[in-house]
Amino acid sequence: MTEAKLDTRLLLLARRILERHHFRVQERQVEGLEDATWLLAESDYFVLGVAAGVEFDDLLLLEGYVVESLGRLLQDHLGPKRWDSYVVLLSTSGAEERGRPDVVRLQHNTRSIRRLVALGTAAHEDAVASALATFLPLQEPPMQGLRPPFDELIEQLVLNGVDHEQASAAVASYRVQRDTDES
Amino acid sequence: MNPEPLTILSVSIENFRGFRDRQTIELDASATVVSGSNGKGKTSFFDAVQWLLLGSLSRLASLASRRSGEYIINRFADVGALASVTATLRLDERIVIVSRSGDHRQSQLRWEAGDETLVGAEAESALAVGLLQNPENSLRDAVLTSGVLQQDVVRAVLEDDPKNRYRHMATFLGLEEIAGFEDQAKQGAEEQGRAAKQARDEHSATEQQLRAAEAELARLEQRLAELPEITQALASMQTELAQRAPGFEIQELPTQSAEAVALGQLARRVRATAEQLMSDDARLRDQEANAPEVDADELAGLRNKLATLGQEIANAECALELARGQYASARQRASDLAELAARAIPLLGERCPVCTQTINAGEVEVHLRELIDAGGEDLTALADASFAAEQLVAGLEQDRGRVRSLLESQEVAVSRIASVKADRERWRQSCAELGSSSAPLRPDTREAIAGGDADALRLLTQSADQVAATADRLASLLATSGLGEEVERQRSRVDVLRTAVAELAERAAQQSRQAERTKTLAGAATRAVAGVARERFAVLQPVVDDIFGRLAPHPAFTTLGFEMGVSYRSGVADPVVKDPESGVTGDPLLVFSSSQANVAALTYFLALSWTADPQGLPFLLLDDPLQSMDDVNALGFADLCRHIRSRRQLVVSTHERRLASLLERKLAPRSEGVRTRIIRFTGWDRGGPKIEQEEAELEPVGYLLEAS
Repeated sequence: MTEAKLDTRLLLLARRILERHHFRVQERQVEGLEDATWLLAESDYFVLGVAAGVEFDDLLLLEGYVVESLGRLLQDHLGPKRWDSYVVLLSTSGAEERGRPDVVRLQHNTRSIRRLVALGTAAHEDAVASALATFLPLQEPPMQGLRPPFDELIEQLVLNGVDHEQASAAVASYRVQRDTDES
Repeated sequence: MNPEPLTILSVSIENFRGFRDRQTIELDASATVVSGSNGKGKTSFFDAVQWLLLGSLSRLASLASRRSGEYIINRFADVGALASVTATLRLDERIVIVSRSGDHRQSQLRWEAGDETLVGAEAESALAVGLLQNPENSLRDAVLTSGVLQQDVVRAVLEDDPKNRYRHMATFLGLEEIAGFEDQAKQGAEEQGRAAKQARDEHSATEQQLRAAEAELARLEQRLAELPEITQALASMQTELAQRAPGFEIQELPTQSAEAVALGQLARRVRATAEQLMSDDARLRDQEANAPEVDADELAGLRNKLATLGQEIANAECALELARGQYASARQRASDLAELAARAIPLLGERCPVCTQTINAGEVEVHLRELIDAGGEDLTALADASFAAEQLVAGLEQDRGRVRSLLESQEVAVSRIASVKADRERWRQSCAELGSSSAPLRPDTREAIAGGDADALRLLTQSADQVAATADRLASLLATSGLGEEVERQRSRVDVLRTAVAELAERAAQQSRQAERTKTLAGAATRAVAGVARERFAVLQPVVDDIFGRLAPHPAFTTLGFEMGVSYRSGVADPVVKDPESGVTGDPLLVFSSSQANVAALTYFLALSWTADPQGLPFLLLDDPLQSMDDVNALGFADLCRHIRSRRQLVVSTHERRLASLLERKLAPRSEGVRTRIIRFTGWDRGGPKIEQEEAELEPVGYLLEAS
């Protein structure tokens, strides 16, 4: 195959993140390209092929090989999971090319396998995790959730120059009025 | 594995909007996909859940042209029938049946949990607590902002003007209940400002009335004093007092009846005091005259004599003790000897058992009897000595009693004399106080009274009687004359006005302080509410970024936010999307397509629901959340739903067949214990929707890779 420049740091980070989220991960050789690898990863819901290149053009090359390789692997015994297969293409550069027609075209090509293209992905865990977000749980909500708005309101009134006693009394009065109106 | 989030097990609907005949929709699954083309009753189902929870559909209430326009009861229902929605819920492992029946004007909720049945407000409260855990949170806000999503409501947020959008966003962020606080604070400040002004005006007007009344009173008093009969009477009384009340010195008699009354009261108090002093003086004189005389030398002699007697008695008692002891010892010895002799005499033989000499028993017996008799004589002497000592002690005690009695009577006399002296001193003090009192007394009278002159006191009582009588006559004269009565009325009026002015001044000051405080509060309220909104956005933002990134509606504008601020004392909120690479920002409504804007609105709703955990609602109902979305957005949304169902019971509807198919496939169960229900609205007639329901089958999942 024509030579593609690979980014092993991104691939390593992707593997670490997927394994942390209980994916089974295996490194696979890109056929016809020495020392070039991609990741086969799967969970109860997804089957992924992950590849990382330096530039978008490298991703274009990798995409063909990984889609073909992954497509061959998808079998009937995978059950419904075979319809949840993705090729994820990562590169650190190319953030400014996100709106390029060929990038958009690639993103919207859902034929047999959905492609996710993450250009401009920095080589650190947060950025790679963000690129893989579709397959990871949603961010944990803040531990305390949202505080009761009246508590926050009193705090803000005090910050804006109202003494605490007056702020508390005004909010309490408002709540009584509101409850009375509603009933 | 965590248990499925499952709260709503089923919903039964009858005579409600698109439903006439009773239908039960089973929802006992962590994910339910509702599908069907438009007009088949899907939205009526979502409306039914909202009405059951809240008793209202604000979306439709605002559309109803008349208050009588019924929009809750099905149009084909029997006349008089009420709408009814019943849900079976699982709350804290309890099965609860809640049902609401009514129309658009009113409805009643019923709550049944085991043996517990609640109705009305109690049922509403139990439902809110059961669903939200925290009773402080409003069920209405929770349902509208993160529980039941209806697309037209969400889009309205983005399409509104900045002020209204701010209000919508506040609702969206669960802040609707505090948004009204701004209005109330502003309204309160305006009302308080008006109240303060009114209080100041009232005070000012009353103060003017007081000034006018005081001027009128002065004028009336002047006129009264100048009346001929009054002036004549005053002159006559003045002369009378000068003659008959020489103890007093009144330069000018009062011309007001109240002052005349006060003068009379003063004169009576002076008289009572003087009379008391005269009485006390007489008593003290008597006590002083009859006080016993005490000779100090005699008193000292008695005290010495008493001390000497005490010493002598002590000595005599010692001697008595000694004599008694000697007598007792002698008696014991004599008794012992007599007993010995009495036993020895019968035993006397002819020879001594020791030296064997011959014994004259008769002589020995005589000798022994003499010894016994001699002991008796000694005892008599000692008994006499003891008796003499007793007599001495008794005599000394009698002497001491007499001396002590004399001394006590002398000391009582001394105490009585001291008491009389103290009373006299207090009497003098009282005289001095009366002499320096505020009563209008002549200077020489003052001096004499201060010195305790009894004649001066007598003179003062007579004078005070005269002054009191004259003052009474004067008060009566002033009050009963026509002008006098008018003066009294005016004086009362002035008094009332003075009290009123003082009270109004205090009230005006209080109102002004309160107005200042409420003004400060109103100014702070807008900034505070905006501050709360900003803080809420800050909490939400990471989740918003995560969800927006998954839905990815635009290749460049990949972050979404709201700029909250205050403009012209009102909160404003402007949605903004940003391209992080170039820093370019824009309004999503202007730079996004309609479907992309929908994604932005949906993002916030989902973020709120997710962030409210664990205090938020345990379910999420999305009625046709995405319309006209492309495949990539749809895939992103479907994958997102997989994550949401892990924490929230999810019910999602769509009218698009392809999206429905995608959701059914994506949300199909992949493991035991996870269930998905498929609800298809396939048609509608006057009886209601035609609904097909099934539970999605669990398909076995295979793996390419071995588990590590």
